[in-house]
Amino acid sequence: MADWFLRVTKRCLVEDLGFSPDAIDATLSDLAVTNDIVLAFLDKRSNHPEGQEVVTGLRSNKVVFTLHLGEHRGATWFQKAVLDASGVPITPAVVWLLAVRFHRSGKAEDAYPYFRDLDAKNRLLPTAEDVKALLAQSRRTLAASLIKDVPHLIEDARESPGRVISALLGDRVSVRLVFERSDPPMLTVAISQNLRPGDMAMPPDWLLLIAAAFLPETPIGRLSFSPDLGGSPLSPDEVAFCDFAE
Amino acid sequence: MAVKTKPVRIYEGDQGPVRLLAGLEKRSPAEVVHAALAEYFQTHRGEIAATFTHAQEMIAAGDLEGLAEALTAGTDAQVNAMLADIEG
Repeated sequence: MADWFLRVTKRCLVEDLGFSPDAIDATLSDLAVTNDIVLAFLDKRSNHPEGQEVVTGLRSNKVVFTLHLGEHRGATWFQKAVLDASGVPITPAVVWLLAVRFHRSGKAEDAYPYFRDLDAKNRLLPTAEDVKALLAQSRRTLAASLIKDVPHLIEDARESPGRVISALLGDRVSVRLVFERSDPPMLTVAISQNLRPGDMAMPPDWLLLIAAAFLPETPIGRLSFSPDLGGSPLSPDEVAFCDFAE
Repeated sequence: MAVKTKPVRIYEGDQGPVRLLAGLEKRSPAEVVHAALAEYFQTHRGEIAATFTHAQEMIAAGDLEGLAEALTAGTDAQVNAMLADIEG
């Protein structure tokens, strides 16, 4: 998985790609199923967040790269993670697909004058709605993973006692778990506090929410921290919880 | 058997009180921090229990929207930071 999110702005989705406004809530993978341009954006910018050719003549001070998509041209911007005073990331990095247009070199309707026109009208860069939609979708994806994926992970662990199972929940949270057939049996889950993509610190509430998904029957009074994962050391970024699993 | 320990950084100003308590209680600084942490957990048990139990209920009910809402901690700061970066 890339160390950045990939996202299409709402303006681009609606005006350039012909999606309905509701598409802002869809995942990029879902959009890519029905749109080759989104698919190409996903393929190309998953590996390299920046391109080689810069869109020139923009008034905004952003370095916007062109994306060659057959006869179309796209404009993408790599918004790097914002760091706090200590240099710790406080936002995820994102590659935004800002605009797409058919390339007709030298014509007024060509992609590049179109990009410059959008920029001049302050319509090229992501809006507050785009940013909020990105973060909301990320939360929904993680919530869905807690409900749907975690029970399968627990089942897998139970079927392979002693084996450490690793997973990435909702493309955001790395976890490792192990079921030990001791007397009584024990389930331990180690949760990384470094959020993907990048290395953002996890909000403290999330740790309890994720622990609750793995230990759905555990009364709070029995919730225990574990200093290791089935005898193996934890990573410095992990916090582990355990409970009996009878 | 010796209990395993790990280094923890504390504020410089807290070093004196930790040493004082350790001396008064005839405990090691690690034992003072351990006891303080246990007391802190006891004091905040209610809010920790509320968050954990509510999460278990939402997961049992398959409450996707509720869980997504519970994951909003820190979102406003992220939105503001990203927008400032876009406008900067």
